[in-house]
Amino acid sequence: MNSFKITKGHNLKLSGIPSKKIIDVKSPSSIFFHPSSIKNIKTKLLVKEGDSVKVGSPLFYDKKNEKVLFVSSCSGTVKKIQFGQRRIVEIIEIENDKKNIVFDNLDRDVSKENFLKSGLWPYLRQKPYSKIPHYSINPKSIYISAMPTEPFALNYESLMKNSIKSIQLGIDVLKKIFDCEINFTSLNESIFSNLSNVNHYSFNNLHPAGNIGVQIHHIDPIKNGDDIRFYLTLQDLVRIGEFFNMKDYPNLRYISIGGNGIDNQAIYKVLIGTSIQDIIDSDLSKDIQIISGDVLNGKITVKDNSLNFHDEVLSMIKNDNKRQFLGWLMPGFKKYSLTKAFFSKLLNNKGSELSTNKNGSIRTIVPMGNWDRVMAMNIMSEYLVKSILANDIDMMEKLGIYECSPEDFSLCAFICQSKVEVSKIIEDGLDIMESEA
Amino acid sequence: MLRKLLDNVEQKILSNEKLKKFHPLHDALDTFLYSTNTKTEHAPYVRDAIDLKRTMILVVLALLPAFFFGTYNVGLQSPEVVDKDFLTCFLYGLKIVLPMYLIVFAVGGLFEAIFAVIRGHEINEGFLVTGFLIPLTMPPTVPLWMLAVATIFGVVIGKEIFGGTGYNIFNPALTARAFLFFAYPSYMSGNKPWIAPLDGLSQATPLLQKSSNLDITYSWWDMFYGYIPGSVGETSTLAILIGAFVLLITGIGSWRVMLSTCLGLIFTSTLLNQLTGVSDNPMLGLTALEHFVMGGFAFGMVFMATDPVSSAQTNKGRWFYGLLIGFMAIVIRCINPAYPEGMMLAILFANAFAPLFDYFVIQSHVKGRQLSYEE
Repeated sequence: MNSFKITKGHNLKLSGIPSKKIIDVKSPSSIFFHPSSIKNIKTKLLVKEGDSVKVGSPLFYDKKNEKVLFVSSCSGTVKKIQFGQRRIVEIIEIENDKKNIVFDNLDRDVSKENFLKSGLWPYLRQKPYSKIPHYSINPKSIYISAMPTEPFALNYESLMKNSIKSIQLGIDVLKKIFDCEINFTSLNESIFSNLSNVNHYSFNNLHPAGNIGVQIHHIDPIKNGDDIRFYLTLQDLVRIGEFFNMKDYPNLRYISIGGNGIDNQAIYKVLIGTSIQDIIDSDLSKDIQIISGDVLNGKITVKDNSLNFHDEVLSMIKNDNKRQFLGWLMPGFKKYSLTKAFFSKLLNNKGSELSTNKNGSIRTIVPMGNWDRVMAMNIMSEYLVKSILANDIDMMEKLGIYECSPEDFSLCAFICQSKVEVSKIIEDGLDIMESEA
Repeated sequence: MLRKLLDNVEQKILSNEKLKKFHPLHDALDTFLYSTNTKTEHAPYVRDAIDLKRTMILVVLALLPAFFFGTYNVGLQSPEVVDKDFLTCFLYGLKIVLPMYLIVFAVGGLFEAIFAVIRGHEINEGFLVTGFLIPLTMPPTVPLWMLAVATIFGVVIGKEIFGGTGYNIFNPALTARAFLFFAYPSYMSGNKPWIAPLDGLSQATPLLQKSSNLDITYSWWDMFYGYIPGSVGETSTLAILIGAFVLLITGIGSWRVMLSTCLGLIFTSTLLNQLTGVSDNPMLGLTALEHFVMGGFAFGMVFMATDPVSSAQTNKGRWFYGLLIGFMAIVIRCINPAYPEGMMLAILFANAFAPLFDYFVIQSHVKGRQLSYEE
């Protein structure tokens, strides 16, 4: 096993860490899909209001990627389809009849055709661009990270200790379909080290070591826009393994819910598409920010929505509107900071609480070198950001934009004293590269 | 109550089309008095407590020892003060230094505000440091009108025409000083700054004594503690080192720049020491330690060279940048017959070279990346 040690990074100390308890959420009366929240797809609907659907029956597909189907996770009736501006599909609501009848047109023989038809393809994503890959692409390799390190991430070591067999099934399926290298990354001491058909790599537990982009950078860096790797989460790998080996349709998802905005932080097992309101059995009217995904890289959402398609973390963070008198002058024993500018550094940020307060106003980039202190890749972050802002495509390529993903820069944005939206700028840069390709 | 007043004023400003463009002024006062509570709009949704205000205020904090000692020293060095006890000297110093600060902040602040209103962006905290630095780099006898002109030059030509803090090539405070240095040289160095208005007794700085082939009348420890004439903030190496300590433990000043500037000094002065027999230039004989405590070397190294914007911005570049400063400062001091002091020019010179260093560092990074892709 090849071992890598990431030295630059930070594990955020947030309050409200989810316990290991697994809470089974009962099947909701309705499930919700949000096609417009999926990056980079043009939705073409396959159902209309009033249609009846089964578990695994297709709901919509991407016009640019027409063989990739998105399917229902429950059986019932399409209750409502809500369009937004320019007729983008914002919400598909399906009334759940709770009978869990599986779509009969699914073939369980392992092949790419059946994989596409199964509705499981969208769980794959590609680097560069962090999007659902085109069905015609054969990746150079596939990455599976059993060690997400973002705040409130699922702990797969304990969650999946009884699912080793399903994981192996998933690996074998992917190997058969794509016939490429499969790279499996885990912590140094791991229950997954006996899996076969994969290359094992290990990283230390320091965020962003768990990010696929960072792992690829250290294992086998992406050279250009056509040098494509696939990746998927461990629980989606299990989903694929189970689909091809069992009769049921694997339509449940583990979600890790944390943050100081709620009380019952734990792992929740839910039907895919369950709204946040239906998952959490507590008062959500308080002044909290609901984030689908982790606090470093998620997206703001509302309690009526379900989680975004690939997310397995839900973060509930308190808002903080207090304004401190002469805050810049105070010693700052309770200011959470990775810099050494506050006395909280001496306390190792103990007792400091993070909120959604930006803690400052946007300024021009002042290169204090803070970004580099949390940059886990050999990337000149400040120059890359400047080349993106200057729309200098040639320079972006030279500085390695294809290796970058917004989430790999979220700590840079976190620590930036000028409050530069580093992740957002990287995302914009990747959009520019993609539109140029 | 104050909070309510500020909110009310803000509402009035924002609701009036004509007043709207003056919002940056209100914002500057508002965020000065109260920390902001803006909510994050993009991921990450939680942010570090550090902001530019805190960063800049820590630099000002680091400057305070030099400020206090400098103010005291103005009184100590002035022939007008007969009774040399601490309080008398300090109060006399305040009478000279405070008007300097008032002028710099009034004039500089005004121009900062004008540019912020024109550009419609918030007032940047960078001027807090620039404004605090400018009087400390000036001889205490500089006429106030000159200080005002220099400040305007530093802010406008040194910074704003490039786009404001973050875009400037040269250190704005040094640009201000360089302006006076070339426009009114007799006020900035030579004998004039230290001729007392009443009895005409002149006091020369140690560097001037040495370059004029006189014996230095101050001991090394006097120079280290700062009991010597010179610009307001530059004399006490001890006070400056306390500031350096603050900058280093808070991680705000670059240790690479400070260390490499020192290395440049040691290398160059040792080299020139070898030439003492060859030439009768008295400056060649100065040791590295003497150079360090004389003139503006320590002040420039700790507070000017480390300016993150005008210094090299890559870590490798910072090494070369610092070495160049140390080298140039000593070369100008020793070999140039016209100026006994070289730190200011050395830093401005290195400021101009910093982008070049960064360019080479980036090119080598890009080359390394391409090579690793080809493997």
